[in-house]
Amino acid sequence: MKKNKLWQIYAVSLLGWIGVFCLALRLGAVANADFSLIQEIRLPRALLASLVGAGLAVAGAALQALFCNPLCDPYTLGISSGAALGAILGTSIGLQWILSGFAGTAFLGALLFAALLYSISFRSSRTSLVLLLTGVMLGFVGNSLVALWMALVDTQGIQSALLWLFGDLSRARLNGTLFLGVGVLLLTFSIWRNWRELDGMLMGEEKALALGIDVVKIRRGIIGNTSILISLCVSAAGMIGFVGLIVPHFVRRLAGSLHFHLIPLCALWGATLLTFADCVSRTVARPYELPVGVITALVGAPVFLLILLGRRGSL
Amino acid sequence: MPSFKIKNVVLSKFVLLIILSVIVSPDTIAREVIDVTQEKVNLIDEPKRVITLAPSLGEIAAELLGKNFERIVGVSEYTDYPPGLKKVKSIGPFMHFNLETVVALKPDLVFATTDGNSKEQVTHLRELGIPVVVVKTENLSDIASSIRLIAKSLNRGVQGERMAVAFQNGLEKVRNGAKNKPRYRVIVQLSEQPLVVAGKGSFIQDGLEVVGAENIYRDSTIHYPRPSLEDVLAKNPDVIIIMNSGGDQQYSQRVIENWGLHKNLNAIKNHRIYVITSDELLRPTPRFLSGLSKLSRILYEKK
Repeated sequence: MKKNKLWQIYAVSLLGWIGVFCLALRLGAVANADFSLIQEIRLPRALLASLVGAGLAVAGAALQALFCNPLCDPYTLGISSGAALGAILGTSIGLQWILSGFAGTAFLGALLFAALLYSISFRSSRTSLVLLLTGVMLGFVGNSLVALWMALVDTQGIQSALLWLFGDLSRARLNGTLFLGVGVLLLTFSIWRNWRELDGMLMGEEKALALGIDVVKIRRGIIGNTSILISLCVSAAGMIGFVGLIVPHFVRRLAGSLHFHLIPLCALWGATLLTFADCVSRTVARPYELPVGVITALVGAPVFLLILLGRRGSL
Repeated sequence: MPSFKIKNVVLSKFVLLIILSVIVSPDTIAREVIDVTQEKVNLIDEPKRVITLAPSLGEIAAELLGKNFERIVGVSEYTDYPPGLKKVKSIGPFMHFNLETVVALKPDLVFATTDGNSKEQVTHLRELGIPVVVVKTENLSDIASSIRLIAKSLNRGVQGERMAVAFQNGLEKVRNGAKNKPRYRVIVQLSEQPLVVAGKGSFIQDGLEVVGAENIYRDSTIHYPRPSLEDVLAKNPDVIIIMNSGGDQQYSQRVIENWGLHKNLNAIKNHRIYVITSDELLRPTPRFLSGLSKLSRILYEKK
């Protein structure tokens, strides 16, 4: 791809995100908002949407390359089920830490599942498939435990405590969002640092090995970084589907599969898509907020299909 | 001389307070209310912009404010009693209200409940400097104390006390009236597919207890359990009560017909299957009493 064209893509992506961000500050549940409302509610929320969108898209891109599987998304590895389990157990024993918008016990649960997965990545040195299946199993176990807990024990507030898990950006606080921002940037950077290896992995593990890539080490590094990234995103905003699955595909169509450009562009487009979807979810059915995951899919899928079908042969 | 210093600080605060209370109108003198989360909530003397985050809270607040009930500027979805509240701005469903709408209404008092509102959202409102009074409405015994707390926050202590005492007396009356009555075994069905019934810790269970009936699912582990139909048939209730607060006739018809298939049930043999269309038994407010009297009429009045 020509350097000139790439710069254009970067410029358009950045402008798109800025535009959507301004739109998110402008629109909301109430028609004429004063400055303090925008500062207290909309600004943290637009930032949170951008960061979570960026984090999910980057995690999705990295996992798709790592497992060489186009169907991977941030929730494939079951870390979000760990978050759900943490949240529900925390609520049941009355430990509802809310650390400036982060669900404390959900984060712990997610980290626990991430640690499990990470320790398993040491054992399965041969193939990533074992790791992938372990993640899927962890997810099933976590979800089933949550369902079991809800059927047998009902503590006050579990329903409302779990509602956010299906995607909720309204928990945003400025300081918590800034903390998330630092985390997402650092983790994205350390994933991006391995862009060469990710390019190699995309060709399959055997070819990657033949290219001299230390597959086991890279796998461990990527698993560690992405699972912390996913833990952060889920405990801040619950599970928001589609962004992590489709944005990497979209950006690959747009700018090619080289991770040097793919990772930063994924971050930008993930931020743009989720911020825009949140805008829509807040405004179309006032005073209700639609689940933002529904909007990401409804907005994203047609656009993605258009690009997929319309630009045949460019990749 | 530390003690002197402390005195000085106290004194200066006093002076400041006096100056402040002279500057601001008498309307805005701060009061302190301690709610069920042990939070000290600072309130102005006469809250003028009140938001209620659950239907029952809107109902109690409106009753207490009387003709001043236009001070309620925002209510949760389904707040339909008293009917005047239907016109008040909705802030969305109580499980997950719209934060931005609440903040934009600039409330000087928000009522929340431990039974349904999200703790996270309440914390969020408090972080934004909005005074939130949380009441507990989980059991029948909580109703009177929640009335008192709401009344105190609204500066309507006298009316609140009157309302709470009237409620407790009414409850006692029903309880006494239930003595020496046959103790029927009852199932209260809340939903058909899946079958959901009232169980231990639910309001309906408390109500059945007061009118002297026995809930066949009084020992459930959760408030609204989902028993299997086989289990219901084995327990063989004397009376089946169907809660249908939407009042959908077709639904009632269908549910009654389906129960009718099980001819060995005592309730079917004796034609003791009833539909309750009001939501009084589901709301932790003084109207619960009229729900109770309807319930005892169903159970004991000869047809």
